[in-house]
Amino acid sequence: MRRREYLLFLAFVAPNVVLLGVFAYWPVVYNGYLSLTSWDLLSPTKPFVGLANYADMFTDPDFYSVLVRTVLFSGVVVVVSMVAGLAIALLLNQALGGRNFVRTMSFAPHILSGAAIGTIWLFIFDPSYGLLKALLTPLGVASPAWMTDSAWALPGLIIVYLWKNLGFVAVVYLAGLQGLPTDLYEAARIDGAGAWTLFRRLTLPLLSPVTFFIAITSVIGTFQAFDIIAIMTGGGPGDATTTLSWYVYQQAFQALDAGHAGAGAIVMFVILLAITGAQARFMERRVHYR
Amino acid sequence: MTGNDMSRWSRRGFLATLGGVGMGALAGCGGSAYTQVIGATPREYRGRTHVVAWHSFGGILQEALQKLIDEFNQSQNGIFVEAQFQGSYEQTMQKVAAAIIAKQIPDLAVFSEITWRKMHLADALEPVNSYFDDRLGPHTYIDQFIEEGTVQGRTWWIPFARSTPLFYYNKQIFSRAGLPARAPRSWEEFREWAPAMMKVKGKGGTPKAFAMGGTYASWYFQNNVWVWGGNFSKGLDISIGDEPALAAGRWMVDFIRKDRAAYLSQTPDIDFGQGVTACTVLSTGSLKNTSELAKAGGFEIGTGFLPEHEGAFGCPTGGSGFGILRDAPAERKQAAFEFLRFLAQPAKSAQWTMASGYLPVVKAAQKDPKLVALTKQDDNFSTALRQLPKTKPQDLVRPLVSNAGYMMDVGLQKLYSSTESVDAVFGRLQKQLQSRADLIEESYTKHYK
Amino acid sequence: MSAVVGSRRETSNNTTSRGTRRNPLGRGGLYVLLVVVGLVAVIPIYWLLSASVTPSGEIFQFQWFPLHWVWDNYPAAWASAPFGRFYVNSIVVTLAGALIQICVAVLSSYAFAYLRFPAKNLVFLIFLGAMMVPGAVVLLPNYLTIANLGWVNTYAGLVIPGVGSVFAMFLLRQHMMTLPGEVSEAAKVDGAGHLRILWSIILPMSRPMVVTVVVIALVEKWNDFIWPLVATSTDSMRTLPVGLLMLKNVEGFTNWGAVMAATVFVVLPPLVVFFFAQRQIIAGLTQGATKG
Repeated sequence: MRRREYLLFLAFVAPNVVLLGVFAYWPVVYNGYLSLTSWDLLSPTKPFVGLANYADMFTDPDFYSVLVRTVLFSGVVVVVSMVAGLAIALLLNQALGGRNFVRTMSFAPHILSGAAIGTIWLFIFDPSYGLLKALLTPLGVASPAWMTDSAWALPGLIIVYLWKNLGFVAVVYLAGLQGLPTDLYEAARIDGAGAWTLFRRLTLPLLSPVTFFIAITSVIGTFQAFDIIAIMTGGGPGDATTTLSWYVYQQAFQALDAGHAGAGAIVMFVILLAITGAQARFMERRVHYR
Repeated sequence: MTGNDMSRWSRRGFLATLGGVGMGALAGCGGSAYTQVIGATPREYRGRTHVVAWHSFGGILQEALQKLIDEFNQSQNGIFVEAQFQGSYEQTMQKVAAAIIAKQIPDLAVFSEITWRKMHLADALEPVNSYFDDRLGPHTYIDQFIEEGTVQGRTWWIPFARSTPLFYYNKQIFSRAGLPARAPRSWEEFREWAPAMMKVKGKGGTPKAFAMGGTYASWYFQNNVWVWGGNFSKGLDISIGDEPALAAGRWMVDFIRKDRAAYLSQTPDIDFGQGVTACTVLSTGSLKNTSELAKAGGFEIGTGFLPEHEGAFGCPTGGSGFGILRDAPAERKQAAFEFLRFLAQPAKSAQWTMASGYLPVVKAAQKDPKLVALTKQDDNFSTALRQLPKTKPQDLVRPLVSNAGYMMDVGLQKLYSSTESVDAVFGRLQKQLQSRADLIEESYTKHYK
Repeated sequence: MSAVVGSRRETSNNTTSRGTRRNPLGRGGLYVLLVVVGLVAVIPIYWLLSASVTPSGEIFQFQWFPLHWVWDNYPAAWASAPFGRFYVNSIVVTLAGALIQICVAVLSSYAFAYLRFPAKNLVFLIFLGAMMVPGAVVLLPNYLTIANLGWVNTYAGLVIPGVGSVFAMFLLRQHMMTLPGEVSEAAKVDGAGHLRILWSIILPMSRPMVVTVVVIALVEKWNDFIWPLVATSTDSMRTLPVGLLMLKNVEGFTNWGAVMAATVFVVLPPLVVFFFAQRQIIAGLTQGATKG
């Protein structure tokens, strides 16, 4: 009977195993192989070049810029959306009229297609005709050239991703807040704890599982995020918005350089694995499950 | 798409699903035959030889191309040409590469002066010499263009939408600035004139002098490098890190950062049409479109040759032509060529030129009465033609070395949009491009020597 | 909007009173903040709608309300590319993708929640690892796979690579593990009954979570952009977001009005779905977060 249950287990997970195996894990393995070749997608052979692609990448200062930029982009998006998201959640947790409406509204950008979001914001950012220019001009501020200024393009993209992500983070935090046990707070308040102490000593620790969830999904999300880049900047101007995702896509499908694409993909996978692993480790010690 | 096609897709998808997901993927069960990427076939054209042509023409260019195709489809009863838009030249080439992998290909595709070489090096194109006859041969086309698509005596690339960069200026701004009604002769003169242009008040404030596009920045910049006495490369020896190229870069950087006269734009054509900039350099292929934008903006455009530097002139050719895919079946390759033959009729070539602004690629088209009349009436249409004899193909690195155009565009965009130094950017490019150029040495020797 | 009415219940939540007792800004300040948050979220969407009804001649002059309200952009966008076809493709790909994904996810989540297997947790962890494989990594190999299968420009090629499921499975499993003990007791009876238990007990009890997971899958499939871009090369197989990109390329920036109208084509269905099902979506997502 036990064996029968094992077989049933296998039968139930088999479709998922096959699908993830072929379309998630096999690509990692295959990228590993491609990264050791120099293949232009068109020639019938894939010449073996050993670690040359990796050597090439890691001696190229431009690739380091890509790595730094990726970390910067992900880091800022994740940290800001968590801090600001929590703040918005605290706001939405107040008894204010219309807060449910605002909650719904702020969540809406999260469900829009990246292609559409990119198109909208391209127009908003336009330094000559855009909405932001119209908002900044009366303030006496000249609109930055956003997508054509190396210094502004990445901040611009960060703004777009924050716009997409903030509402989601806030709503998740809000749910966390609403699930907090009131008795603890009452007890603490009787002990004379102030608002800030309550927040630091109770709210934050109690929310740590939520924080953990948001941190991991946001990191993964920002690593996935290249549809908006594809629409808005194509990695430019120059390489000002070339993140690791875009680099891999660009090498594979634009430069037709499967070797560098594969190597970039492997680097990306390893980084993500390391970050997630570290987060999990850290949270294991710090997360307070009830 | 018809109901018939629909069921074909789903049936095929269903069978393939039955074939098994994992097994097939690991075993690589593709057959050896190439299939065609068929879209819709209107009822009246069923049963004809179906030619699929991939192209990169949007907006009014797409309309103009479709008109030619419709005329071709109606002109005979054996062949049906279907046009499929695939994005930019680069995206089209990428799609062709991906299509070859999937063994599901078009028969004919538009390639730029860069992308056809990539396909040629990959042995993906069909040489068209055996299709030529007395009526249609290399002699039909403007020598310069047909020669560019010919390697080792074999022609791989038939000119169609050939262009050169062209200097565009806003006549209204020029006259209000008290400037002569002509394009500046040299970069230095342009720089002298720029402050006057930037003082002219328009509806949205004062304009900049010069908008520079980020895509194809390296095509436009070929002019600067040449007139400063340098090259991107000589053969496959990269020389973008040499002094003349650096000097050209420094001049442009000063024009941007010190004078604040020039800037990088995602949409130089719109900026120009809206009066945000007084001048820009765009392809001749943008002439028609830009004229209409200017008309909407309420001003007249002027065009001129690219600026010189110390008496030196330089202008690259560019644009695109058609390549026939080697792996298409013989019957469809022949049919595809029949379409090219149609396009090579002087009247058709002229029609395309008048609708777009691209150069006429067929010698006899220049004498087409309608085109002659138009050039007499609108001087801008003749600018490119008059400039043409002074132009030449680009330095080899950009067309030949894989991804080089993109990398150079990235480098130039960096110069145009950040504070990095020319020496640093071009220095890195020199190294990166040289190592890529070394990679194709063997293939280059095989195909070109 | 139904969304607002939907969550009235939470207003009575006792945590609220705790917050209002002392805030440094005063109620007025809080309302200002609330309005700002709402505006920041809404204005870009409003801007999109407003631009889509602005005549192309006026679109480059900023105004909060279109001076002349025109619908021309919509038919112009619709005619400039086979958007009807894109809709059909998007609907097929979205529905098929979501349906298959849910089946796959339900089966495997049930297995992880109720069936015994050696080293089950390790297997689960390996599953979760797939979440760490970013889209950019799988793109080229998956293209090569579907190319080998002859699936380029087919619905199978569009759908199948995306139906393996980690997140949906995770959420469902978490939910199933919170169901009362009798359910898992029932599940422990003879194996022959498992499919029945799943169908007639577990699924009905998991309905809110299943709805959530379905909606998340629908939104995700609808919005997917890079994969359909890579996996198709003809208009007859393109989905809406890819069609939008193509339109943007075709029209350049010269016809912003039409591009904006086409963008509305893309965002309208998910927005409508969201406003009707926002409670389930939000509740489900947060359940994944707080119970994870």
